[in-house]
Amino acid sequence: MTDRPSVLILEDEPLIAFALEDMLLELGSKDVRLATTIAEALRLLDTHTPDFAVLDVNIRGERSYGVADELSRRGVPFIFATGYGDAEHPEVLKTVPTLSKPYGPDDLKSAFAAATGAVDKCDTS
Amino acid sequence: MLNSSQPMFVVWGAQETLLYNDAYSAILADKHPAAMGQNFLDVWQEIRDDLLPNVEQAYRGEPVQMDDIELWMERRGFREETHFAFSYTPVRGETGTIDGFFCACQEITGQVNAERKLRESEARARADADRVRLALAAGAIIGTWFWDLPSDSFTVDEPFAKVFGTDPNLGRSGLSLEQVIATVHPDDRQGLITAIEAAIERGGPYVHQYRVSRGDGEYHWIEANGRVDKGADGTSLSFPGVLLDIEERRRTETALHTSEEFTRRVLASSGDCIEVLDLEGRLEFMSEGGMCAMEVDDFQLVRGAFWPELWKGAEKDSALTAVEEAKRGVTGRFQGFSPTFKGSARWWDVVVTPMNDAEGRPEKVLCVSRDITSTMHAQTALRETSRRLDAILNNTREAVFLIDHQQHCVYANAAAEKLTGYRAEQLQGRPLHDVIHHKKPDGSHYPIEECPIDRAFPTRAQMSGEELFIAPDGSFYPVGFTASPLLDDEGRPIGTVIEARNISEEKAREEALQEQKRILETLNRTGAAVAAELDLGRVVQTVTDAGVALAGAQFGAFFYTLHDDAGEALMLYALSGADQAQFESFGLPRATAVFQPTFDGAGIVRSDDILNDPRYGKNTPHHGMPQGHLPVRSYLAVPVTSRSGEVIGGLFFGHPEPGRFTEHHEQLMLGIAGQAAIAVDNARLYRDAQLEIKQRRRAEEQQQLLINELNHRVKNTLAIVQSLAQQSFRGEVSSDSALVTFRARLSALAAAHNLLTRRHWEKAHLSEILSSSVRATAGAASAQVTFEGPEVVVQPQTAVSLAMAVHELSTNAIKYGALSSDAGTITVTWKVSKDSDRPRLRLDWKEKGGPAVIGPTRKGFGTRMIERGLAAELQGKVVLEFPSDGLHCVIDAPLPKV
Repeated sequence: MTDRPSVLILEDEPLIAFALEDMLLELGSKDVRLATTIAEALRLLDTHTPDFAVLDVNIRGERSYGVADELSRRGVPFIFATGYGDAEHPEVLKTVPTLSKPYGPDDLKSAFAAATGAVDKCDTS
Repeated sequence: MLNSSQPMFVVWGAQETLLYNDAYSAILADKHPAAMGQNFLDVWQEIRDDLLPNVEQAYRGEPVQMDDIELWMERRGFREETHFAFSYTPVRGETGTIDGFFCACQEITGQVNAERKLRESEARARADADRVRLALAAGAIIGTWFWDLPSDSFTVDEPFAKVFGTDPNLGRSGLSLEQVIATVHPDDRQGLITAIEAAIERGGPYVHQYRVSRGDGEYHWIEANGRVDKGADGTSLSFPGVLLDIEERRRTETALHTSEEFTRRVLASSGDCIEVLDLEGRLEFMSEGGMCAMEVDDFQLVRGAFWPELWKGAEKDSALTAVEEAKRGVTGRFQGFSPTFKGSARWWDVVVTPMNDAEGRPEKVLCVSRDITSTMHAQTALRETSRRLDAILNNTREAVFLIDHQQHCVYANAAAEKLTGYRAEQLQGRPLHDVIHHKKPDGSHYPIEECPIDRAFPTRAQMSGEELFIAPDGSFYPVGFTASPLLDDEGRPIGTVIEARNISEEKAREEALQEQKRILETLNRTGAAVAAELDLGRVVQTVTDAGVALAGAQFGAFFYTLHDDAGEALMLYALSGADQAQFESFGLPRATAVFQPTFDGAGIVRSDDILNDPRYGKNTPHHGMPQGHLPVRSYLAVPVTSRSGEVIGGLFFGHPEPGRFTEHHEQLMLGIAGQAAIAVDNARLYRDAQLEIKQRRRAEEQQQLLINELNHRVKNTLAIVQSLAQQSFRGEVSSDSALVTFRARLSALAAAHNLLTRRHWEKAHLSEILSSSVRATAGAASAQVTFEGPEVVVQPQTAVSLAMAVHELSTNAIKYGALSSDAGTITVTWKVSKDSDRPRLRLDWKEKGGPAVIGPTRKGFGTRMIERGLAAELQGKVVLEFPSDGLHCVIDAPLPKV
């Protein structure tokens, strides 16, 4: 994860966000930015494009797919994290790796690998 | 001899030497003088073969005589025809042998010429005689000809030339046969040539008729009449003849022939028996047809028979009388029966007529007997047929009319009189249509051209159907009719036969049956419809419509009671035959004397005239129907009662005319009401079931939603717990101490959850969150904390963050701050400002009376939770200040819009 030092977290539950932030820092991220609302996440994206993102799906009753679309557009790899066990993503986001809460560092690492590996593969092809 | 003027010569010796005189030298002509002393036969070298037998005969001592030898001589300077007779006289020598012969030549030229002239004269005379004779014999001579066959000289006289249209001059000088034949009718030419050739060949008389084109271009029949004369040797010499005009003769003959033939044919072709009697009544003649009719094979068998005797019985007297009358010049006539000669039974119609002579006196009697057997049989059969027909026509119940080509009634049977109410005489002689079918029920004229009955005649097609006839009193009655065109043997229409019958009763029966059928169908259809219908509104509408249709009502209504979800009774209604608008203003029927029995389920109320019903008009305010109500006179109301005995409502029917509803309608309406009750029950059950199903489904959905939410929350909570654990057990803190911290944090989380659970996770009050979180962390020491502020509602998630932040603040206060000594206090105050578009919350956590405050050396979980987590959660600012007299936490955050 060191090759992707800047990470965006979209998570409306600060306690969970902190844990994720810690995990990311432990895994080598240098710059972790937290947004607890979708508006905030988009605001952050206005000034900075991260290298990676972890998006909670349900943000205060809203879906974070708008942010996911923006990330896809910019070619930023990302993963979803959700408390809903069987969340159904829209067709274009079906292949996005999804972490099911609660998750540990290993879950995060493999999801990260899945997300970035896929993108890397595309880049090198 | 030598000097004789008669030519003479001697043939002498074995050398047959010729010696002659001067006269003979003329005969010798060029042969003289060389011929003298030469061999006789050598001299006549050219005719040696003719002369040799004569010479030899003379040398045998037999004299030879040759008459009329034709010689051409040039004696007088021109060649001329001469005729000589020669006689050879043998000359004997001393020994008696023949030494030679002597010939004296006698010229007979003059004789021959005289004879020839005579003969020609005779022939001319004979021809003239023939012409005259033939002319006399033939009468109308129009020309003569003479044809000299040896010279083929065809001469004609002037009339002949005219007949054949040839030049008379040419006719005199001679014509060719071809010229004559060219004028003959082409069809007759070959026949003429053949006849001429045959006549010439055969000789004798010649007669032939043929047509000749005369000057006018017309062909006329002529007869050529002639004769071919032959000479003694059989050669045809002359063919004289005359031409006769036979045009008139032929015409007359043809006419005569035609007339005779006609008469013969008339007599022969007549099937009648034509007989001629003398005045004594004896049979003189019987026509061929008569022999056939009378079955007489040989007329001779009946010739001379006394005619009246040929009849039998009474007819004999009739025959006698008729003959007697004919003799007096009167025509007699009788009909009678008499068998033929072979015994065949026959009826005869006999006319006996006198035949008068030139003076007008009866000369003969003409009897014409006509075989009328088949007519008699036909009449008998006809009478029988008529009798039967009359029997049928006068006994049938079907009215029968006979209409002629003018559509006039010429016959009407007894049933027809009964049907129409007119006597046959009243119907006859004018178009039937004008009497009984000229108007339509609406009073308008019914043109005969549109009448299907009268169309049968022009269309030649049988028509049938139903029409309305007019009775003498002007009323109409329905009839079923069949109109059949009457055609003659050639298929031409000559009239129409109309059969008709009154179908009033039939129609009434049929209508009753139709009505019954319609009722049953309506009942069945209604039953089926309402049984299949679970929508209460449609059920009652169907029932109401069916009721109106079956009762023959003008309008109807179904008032019924329903209980809504809250159990409140509602009265609803369906209308049929009337608009909703016509009812809406009147309000619902009340328990009046008229309506009460129905809504009580007491029974049917039927009134022929509700306005005159004693139950009517007893209630205020209207005392009867309200102003503007539909005009009801006939009234019928039936209660609709559920199986459970509950009165569901009532069916009400009305009609503006009195006396429209009968007991029969009551029965029908009871049936309808029964069906309605079942249907309403069913609809209610269905509705209840539907409602329950809907509620259950909603509950299930809610449940699923809750399960999902629970799952989410549990997982989120687990994530929070994981986060708490992760942060509690981090760093260099001892595990025991970390465990205590972790437990406390879990307790705070649980407390927040407890609070939210009490509030159904919907919302929480700020004061409650604060106090319960402090209480959960500080226990008894929480008494040192005071809360003051207005009621503020926060979202569940915010509540959890707040609780966790307050827990951290409280924990810090217990460990290091105001709650670490009994003298310390914490005041938590908050207020809501509404100056901007969104209300803002300002909360102050202020500690006092605790140990002197030392700022934190590092930022731990608590600081992070408060400064970052809560701020992020609240979308506001959270500031921790550490003045020495006590910790001060300020929260400034917007509140969600109310």
